[in-house]
Amino acid sequence: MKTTIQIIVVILLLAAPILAQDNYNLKVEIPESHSKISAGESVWFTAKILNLGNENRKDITLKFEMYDPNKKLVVSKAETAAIETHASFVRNLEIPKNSPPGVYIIYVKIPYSDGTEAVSQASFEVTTNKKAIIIIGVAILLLLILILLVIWISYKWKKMYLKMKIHQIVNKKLRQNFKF
Amino acid sequence: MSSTLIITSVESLQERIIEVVKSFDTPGIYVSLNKTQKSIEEILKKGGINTKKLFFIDCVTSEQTKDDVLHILPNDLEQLSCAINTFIKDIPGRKVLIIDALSTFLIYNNENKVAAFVKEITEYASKNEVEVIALSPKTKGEELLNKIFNFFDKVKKE
Repeated sequence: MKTTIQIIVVILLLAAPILAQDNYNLKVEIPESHSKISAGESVWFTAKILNLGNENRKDITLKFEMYDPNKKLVVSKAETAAIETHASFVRNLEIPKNSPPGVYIIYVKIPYSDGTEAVSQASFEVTTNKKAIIIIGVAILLLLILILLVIWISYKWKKMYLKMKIHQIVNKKLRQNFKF
Repeated sequence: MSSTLIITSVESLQERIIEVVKSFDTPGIYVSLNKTQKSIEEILKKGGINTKKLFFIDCVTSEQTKDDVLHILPNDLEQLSCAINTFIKDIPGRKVLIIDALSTFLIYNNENKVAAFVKEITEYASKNEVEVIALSPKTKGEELLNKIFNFFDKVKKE
């Protein structure tokens, strides 16, 4: 009996790592409405996790990484979350204002204790900031209008000044009682 | 009121200017393109002309020597046209417009621009009963003169 119990304990101890092994099914999705974003805005996404390892409630680390079209890491975030059998998280990452347009990739990673990790990715497009373009366009237009206005005013003023001067010259001669 | 274009030799130009100005006893707008207002006024005075009746537009120098003299650059035909028109409006009664060396404008403007300027002022003067006398030396601007002949009532080639 004692021997049987000892064998069971050894088996359990050996099996524990296998039974407790990290194993997650991870999927990240970006909704269609966020598939094209302007720089400076936030991209929203959903991370769905299935705990395939065991049924116990567990704390996991979630890592979020955003890479630009040049495969450069631009945003990185990590958080701890609790999961039992499954979990779904809605998160967002802010795209830096000066980000160039192009296809960006979001990676969601769950590191395992053995050094590996579960990874899922989704891509979206950063487009040129229409609002900024409109604002710059309006500013340029206003500046052009202002310049034209200044030119027009100075042109009109030049003519007005000339006429005033001529009035003065003619009136001066009239006052001098010059008979025309 | 009529408009006359006088084409004469360079040597006779000065003499003809004095003759023309002397022939009028009405006030005049004198557009000086050959000499400064100061020089032309001295010449006219020596010729026995009462220059008090003349309103000078000096297109030779921008140096302001007298308050009652207007200085306009010869390449600013728009400003010059405006000045002539304003003088015509402001001076009461009959008057004469004298341009002493029309072809000098060609140094600063292209032919078509000068022709358009001449057309404008002759038309305006005609509507406002102003006598126009334009003088030009023979040796300069034959093509311009060919273009503007028709704008004048009379053309005298001397």
